[in-house]
Amino acid sequence: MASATVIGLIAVISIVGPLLSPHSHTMTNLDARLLAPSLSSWQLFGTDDLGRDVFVRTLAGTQVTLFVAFVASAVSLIIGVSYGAIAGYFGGAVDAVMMRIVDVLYALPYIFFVILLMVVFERSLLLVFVAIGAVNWLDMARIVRGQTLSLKEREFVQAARLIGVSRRSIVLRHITPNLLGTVIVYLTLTIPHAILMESFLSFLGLGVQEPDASLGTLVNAGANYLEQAPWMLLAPAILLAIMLFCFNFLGDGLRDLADPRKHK
Amino acid sequence: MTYSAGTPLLELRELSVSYEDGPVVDKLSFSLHAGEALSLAGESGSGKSQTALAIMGLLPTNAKVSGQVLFDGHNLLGAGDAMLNEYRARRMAMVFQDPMAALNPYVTIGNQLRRILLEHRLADKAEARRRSLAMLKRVGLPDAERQYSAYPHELSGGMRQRALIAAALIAEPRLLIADEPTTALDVTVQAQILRLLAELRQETNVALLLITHDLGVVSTNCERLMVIDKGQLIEQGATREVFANPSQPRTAKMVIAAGGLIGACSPLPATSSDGKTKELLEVQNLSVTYLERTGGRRRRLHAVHDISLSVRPGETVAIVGESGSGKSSLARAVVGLLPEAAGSVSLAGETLQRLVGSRTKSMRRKVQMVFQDPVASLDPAMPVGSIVAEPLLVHEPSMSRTVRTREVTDMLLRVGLTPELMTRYAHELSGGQAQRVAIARALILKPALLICDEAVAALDSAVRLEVLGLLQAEQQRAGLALLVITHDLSVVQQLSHRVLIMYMGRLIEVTEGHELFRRPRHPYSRLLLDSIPLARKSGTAELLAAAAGEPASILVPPTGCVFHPRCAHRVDRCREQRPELLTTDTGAVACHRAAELDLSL
Repeated sequence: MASATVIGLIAVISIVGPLLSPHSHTMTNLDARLLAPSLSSWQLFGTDDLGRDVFVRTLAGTQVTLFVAFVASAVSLIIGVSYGAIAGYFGGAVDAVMMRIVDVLYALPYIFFVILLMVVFERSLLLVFVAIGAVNWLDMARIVRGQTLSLKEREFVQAARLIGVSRRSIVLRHITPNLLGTVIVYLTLTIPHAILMESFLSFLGLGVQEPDASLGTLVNAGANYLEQAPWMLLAPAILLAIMLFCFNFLGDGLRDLADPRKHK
Repeated sequence: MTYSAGTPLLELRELSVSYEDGPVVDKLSFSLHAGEALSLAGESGSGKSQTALAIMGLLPTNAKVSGQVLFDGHNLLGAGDAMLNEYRARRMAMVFQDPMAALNPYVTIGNQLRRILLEHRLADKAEARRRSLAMLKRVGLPDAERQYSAYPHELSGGMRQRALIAAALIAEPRLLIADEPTTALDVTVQAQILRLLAELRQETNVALLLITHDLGVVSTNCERLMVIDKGQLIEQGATREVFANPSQPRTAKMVIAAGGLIGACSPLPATSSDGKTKELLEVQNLSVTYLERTGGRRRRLHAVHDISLSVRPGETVAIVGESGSGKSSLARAVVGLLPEAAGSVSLAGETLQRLVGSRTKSMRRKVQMVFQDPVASLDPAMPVGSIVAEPLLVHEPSMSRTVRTREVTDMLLRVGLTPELMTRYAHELSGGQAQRVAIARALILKPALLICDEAVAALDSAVRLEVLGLLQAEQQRAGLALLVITHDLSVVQQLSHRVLIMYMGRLIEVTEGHELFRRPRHPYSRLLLDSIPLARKSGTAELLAAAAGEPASILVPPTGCVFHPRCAHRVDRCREQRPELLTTDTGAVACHRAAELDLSL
């Protein structure tokens, strides 16, 4: 549960930190470009090429990144799990049609899909969420469907049918709780994946735009000044790594929590 | 077998095995002389398999072991892998319960044997092949040349177990440890394997340590019997003496469960036997046909073939058959879980829809089922209280929470469980407890008919008796009708008024419970009776020998009578013409020679 604490701490700091710091993440100061980290001026991670405080920008970027991660996971969780569970449990023609739709969506190259969205609509943060969510739920739906297919053949589901439990209640009461372990594990893979995807889109210039920041854009900017100002890269990169790490551990912990067999 | 004086072949001195949770084997000492057969019997969790693993040096690394395992005077406990490998296969070998799990699925049967010889440098390649083939023939694998290059999945369960025994004996060990070697097999096949073990022992003078929960298996094979419980030796002696006069209540229970004391428990008189009572369940011309896809081709698999049966209120009807006989398909079709079923099922005069989903609520409530695997039939994510309460939630939504909790508590008490179990999850229950929960869930709706699909097959023999007793008590209390699906004739004997015997999807005999055990009419019924290990009847050997085979593939059923390839009494007519199910004074039988044969015991 240490992972949960670390993630919580990062989230709190990313919200509170910018408020406490005398600097703002958009305020430029061309006289103070590429300054090394120092305690005296409260510029803990130094400044970037436009004289902005890297500490505050990193925290602001963390906010955006965490937000993207949670929204994308929520989309994947809600749409993916219900879609997969319905397709799996009802089976037959319903399953075939639903899964072919997933296959078609899968076949679309997603970078192309994102670029298309960007061209047709205004660029906005919302669009990034839509794009990442739209891709992530597909995997979830497939995994959940597979699990459901095997669960519904299990004897306890047949026993429930004999008792007279309705299909809806079987999916809600018997299938879903037993999917929880798998879903949580997969979700903790999805969160880092969504974070990486957002960073990647932003890195390509398709995601979050200046002067706003996400960890992805910060890493991109930092990479350009690697020699003069390594702190510009290191600060967001290290934070990103810590977060990804923690999410993976968190997943293992949550899975054990969801599994009654692991209770003592 | 003679007991040689001198050093025993195997001697255990205060062997203890323990894990974090506590000891599983507690200071166990015994010895086994060359050529002797000893049985280690106990219920699941008694530590018998752990003992075997300790002898072979196969315990997991988190096990703490102390004491001594002496083989020919050498202590094997704590010996390195290199030394143990000298002993394994060449001096001692093991046969496991599940032959499919013990054989490597990617290696042909012949190579699995050959590799043992090559690994221990006991033969060159050509010699190894010759010896492997000879060994396969020796264990009675038909068509051994072809099976030599077959993969494990291509063999039937009994054939696999023969192959495993061949692999164990190929390097001519002096000790054979067999851990539940027949538990996963059908009764007729079990009888064959036990006979094979006895023959091989006589021929090779190998010592046998037979580990089992079923005392019936012991009686035919071992001179000496040890019973362990919770890792401790509770009883030992000559098998016959222990059977005649068990000193411990636990042993006595196991002896009863094995059928050693026939008549310990018998079916209650049927509530009404005047023949005029209305039938509760009527099944007419039920067939189940699966579409099987094998290599792109579609084939029809007739799992159940035109079966009609009826059950009266308060009556117990047993359907008996080996695996693949279609008995489970029949049960699932009756409860409405099989879309592939054809024919009609009616309950108290009302025709039931084919699938449970389209049956009316009041009809669903009257037919309930208990499954074979008690743990799998309980939702792992739900506590026991919710599991038992769920039927009430569905059928009596208006019931208040307090009333529901009281009903659930009463029900749990009735099936012999304490209400404290309500907050437990399925995996925290023992097999017997889990099956009681499943029975409680089925009975809380007060059904008219309870279908038990091998409901006690997965339970320990002593627990089995208790669960059967519970079912009987419920029957007496509420006039419950039972349709019992089983392969175990002792269940039939204890519970059933009428028996239906199925073979390859067809009914071959219908008779009364007690009549089956006195005067079976069909040769297959007689074969089933003779396969009970404790049926100490003379003349069984020839019959078993004639029926050495296993059921033919259901995809290509034999012509004529489906049983004729295994039948000791077949005539030409059996091969050509399928016998009709003809009425007899106590039921019906499908055999051309039913009238002339006397198969009485």
